[in-house]
Amino acid sequence: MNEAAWSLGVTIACMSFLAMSAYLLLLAGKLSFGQQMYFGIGAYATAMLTSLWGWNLWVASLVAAAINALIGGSLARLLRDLYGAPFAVASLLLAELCRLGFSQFEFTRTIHGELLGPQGLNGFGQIRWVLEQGWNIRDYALVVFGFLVSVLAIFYLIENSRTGLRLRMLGVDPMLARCQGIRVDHYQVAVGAVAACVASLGGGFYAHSMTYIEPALFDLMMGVHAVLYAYIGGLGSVLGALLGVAFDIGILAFIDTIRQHRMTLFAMVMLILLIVRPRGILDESLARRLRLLPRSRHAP
Amino acid sequence: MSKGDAMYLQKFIKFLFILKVCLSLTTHEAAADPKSRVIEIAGLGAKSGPIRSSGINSEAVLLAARDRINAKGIRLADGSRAIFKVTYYDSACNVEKATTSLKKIADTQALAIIGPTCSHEAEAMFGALQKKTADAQDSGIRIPVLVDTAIKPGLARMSEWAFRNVPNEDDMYQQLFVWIKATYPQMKTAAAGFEGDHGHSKGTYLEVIKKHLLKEGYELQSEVQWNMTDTNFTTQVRKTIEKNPDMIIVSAHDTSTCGFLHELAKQNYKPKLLLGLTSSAKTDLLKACGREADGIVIPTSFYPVTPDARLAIETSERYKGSVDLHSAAAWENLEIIKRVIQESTITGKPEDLISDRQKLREGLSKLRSTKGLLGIIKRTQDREAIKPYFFVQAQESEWVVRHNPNRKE
Amino acid sequence: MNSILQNFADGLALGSIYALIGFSFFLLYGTHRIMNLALGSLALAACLMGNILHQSVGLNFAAVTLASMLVAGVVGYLSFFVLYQLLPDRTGAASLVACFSLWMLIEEMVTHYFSANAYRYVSFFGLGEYRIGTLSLQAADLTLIALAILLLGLLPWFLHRSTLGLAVYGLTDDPAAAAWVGVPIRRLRQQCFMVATALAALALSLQGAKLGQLPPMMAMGLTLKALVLTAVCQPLGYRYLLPCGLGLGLIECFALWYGGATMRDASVLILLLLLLITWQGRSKIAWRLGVPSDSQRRGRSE
Repeated sequence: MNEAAWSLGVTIACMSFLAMSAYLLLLAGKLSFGQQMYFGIGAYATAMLTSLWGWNLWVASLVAAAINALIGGSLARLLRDLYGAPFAVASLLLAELCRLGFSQFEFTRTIHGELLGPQGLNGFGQIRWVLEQGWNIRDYALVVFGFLVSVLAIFYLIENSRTGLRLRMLGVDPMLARCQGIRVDHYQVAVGAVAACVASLGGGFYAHSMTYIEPALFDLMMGVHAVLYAYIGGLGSVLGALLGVAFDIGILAFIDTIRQHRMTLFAMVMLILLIVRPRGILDESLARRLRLLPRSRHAP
Repeated sequence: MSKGDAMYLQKFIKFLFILKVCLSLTTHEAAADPKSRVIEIAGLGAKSGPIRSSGINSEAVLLAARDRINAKGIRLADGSRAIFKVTYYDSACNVEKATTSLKKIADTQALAIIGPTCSHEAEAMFGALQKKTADAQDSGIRIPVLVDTAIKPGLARMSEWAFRNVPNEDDMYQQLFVWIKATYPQMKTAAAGFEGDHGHSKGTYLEVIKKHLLKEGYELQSEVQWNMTDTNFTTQVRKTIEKNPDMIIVSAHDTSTCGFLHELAKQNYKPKLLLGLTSSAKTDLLKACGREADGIVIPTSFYPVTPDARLAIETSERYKGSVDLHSAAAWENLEIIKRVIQESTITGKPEDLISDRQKLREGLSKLRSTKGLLGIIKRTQDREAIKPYFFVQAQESEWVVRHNPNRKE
Repeated sequence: MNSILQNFADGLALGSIYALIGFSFFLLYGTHRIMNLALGSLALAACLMGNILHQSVGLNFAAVTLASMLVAGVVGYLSFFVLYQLLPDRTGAASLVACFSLWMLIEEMVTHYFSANAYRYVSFFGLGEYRIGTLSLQAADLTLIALAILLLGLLPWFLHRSTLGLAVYGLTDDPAAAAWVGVPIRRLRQQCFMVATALAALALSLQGAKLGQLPPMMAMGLTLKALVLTAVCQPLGYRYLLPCGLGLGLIECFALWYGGATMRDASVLILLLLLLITWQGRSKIAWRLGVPSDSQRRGRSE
């Protein structure tokens, strides 16, 4: 595999974190168009820790994720009573406010004679921790995939546990879930925190892959794409989010002849999919059948 | 095989032959002399999205330059001849696409990259390049990048593999205000408007235009901002014209410049002088709002005053592109690469790609001046360019030279 | 004082367009329970297609606007078909996502297939500024304000006095009950989609005539403002659309004048966010404003 392919793999992995965070919220019945906010905060925080204070990338990512978990949990508590369109709009507004904040945020330090750090609209460049450590793109990609697989494994375990069941109950009908004794508010806060944490990891890795971030990157379209990936891939399993990302970035971006019309094609496919398979490719019924497949094979 | 199948196969082969002939007639690549080596050059720019005209123009000019160079060929150190093969990639003014394209191009046989269009793309790409050639531990990409369009100041310093052939806005605006002071001594006041959500527009206004405006002693009566996506300029225009400024400065790209100027015309205000941003000195602005932009003065590093410039315009028309201050640099960049190849020991062989890229980089960094479409371009130590420029004014939907600061040279 | 009055006038003009497009959103939300995010881009595409008449044949603003509204009606019908008829899951997240997809599709197609020249829009009958003392307003602005006040002012009469209006009102209140009493639900929903898109096209056409151009990115900003207006006014009722829209326009103008573009964006975002966050207390807000709650209104009509 050449460098470009590994680089594409890293981008797919980073967007997968974002898509998984949107998926988790969808599971809990909340449609959020604002996950790019946590992605962006994670990117900025991780990049600042590595570029300005020389922290190790993996430690910086975890610290940034912890900060985001705090922010995500607090905002989830604040918006706990909003569902559907009001929640979507509120998340969108928060993300736009955050982006406005990024465009005004300046914090620089002179490192080896160069001014480094976020400079508002001018962005935050020279995020070169990975390159300065002498890592090649393949090694970096493998580590990022490692993180992705770990998060996937945790998601998979949660999905197939009682907690996952409760989350789905919450997503279908919070009132009924409350009547069943599920502590809806606690779950909402936990989901908000975990989703923010996951998005933050993706943001940190993304910043170090691109070496440059700016406020315009974390716009409404990124948030919309996160939700669309979860829908395309399917809401039956967390793997659906990865499927959606791989479809858009992996397949559509690779086909040279349609590259200019990629977004148009993506939007058309999305519409057709919503009509034909409203719960995505890997919807709940298909996911259930796939889960039962090993058992049926071994059945006498 | 039956008789019917054989006839069908014959027809199919004939069809393929005709198709091949038609394709070879329509392709623009010069017929390759089997004895010429092929040196690949990658172009990178925004061929899709709102500013696709920049990428389309750069590609057209690059292909025109390639044709002109390939007609005579490139003389290599070992006496053999080479020609250029240009492949243009679309980055869509997107950081992610630009960085991915950089990595993809680095894996190909391309000797160098000409581009990109947008400054944030360039910043992302330069961050991914090896910073200092002496740092062996730095695993950044090692391919020379010659910028034609991305104009944000100081980017080439980011990497020793980055070279820019873009106008020096600081110098241009400094000279512009000196000229205005001499030509319009009665003007004392100014008001400014800029795109507050665009790095180039805001940065150029705050760090260059405003600095030189105040240095020349003008009174800045008001400053207003808008976003690129704004749909209403009423308040901004009212605030701008509130104290009747002599001069109005608009540091914005085409779409919002037109919106602002349209509102200015609606409010029946005609300033004594209107100044614009370098990136707006293109035919696109005049097509979109030529009437409203009449009289606007902008410094630009391209105008068809020389035979080379006129030739570039003529030959680029074949590829449906136009030559402006940004795309002209693509032509110049290809000529610069040709010159360095001819003056160095670059072989153009696939097995020597890594050493060829290094030789090209060294050759480019040693250059102190190059020949541009308008005259001599000086090259600085930090791999930037000081290009000749003009002050042009929109008059009846055409750009006309108001002042040539290079005349004494 | 002059600047305050002028900003007030400008704010009313800006708010009028928000109110008009907000009404289109509101109508669709009320009848379909869909936040049709593609509305702005559909209307913009219709206006650009109508503008072709001006660029090729030289027709005036009225003809272009009429053509745009007709095209918008057709486009509205098609989007009804895609977003409502074909979609199995018509409410909730899927419809919102479908609307976003349609928005992306239209915007990409407009960017690809209309060149920058096509964005130059027909002028408003060549009319310019009007002065009333020290106040000045564009002819297009005056028309926008008049249209907003007329349409939204007449709305209560339409909804409560006319047969069609009562049918629409019934559909928004309780579709099942409206169907039982013989209201042709499907046809009415179709017509609402077409009318909403046509109305949005009218508002955009006026705005385009004022701005002198209609770039594709214009749709996003207007869509977002109208969307938030709908979300805020939804618990209060349609009567608050006009004052909320005008209020939003005034806040933007004053924030821009005294604080700049960043202050404008931030203040609008924060204000709207606070209003949404107090959603759970919406019955309290309604009570303070003297607006009967949903259950009180239902009780009154029974």
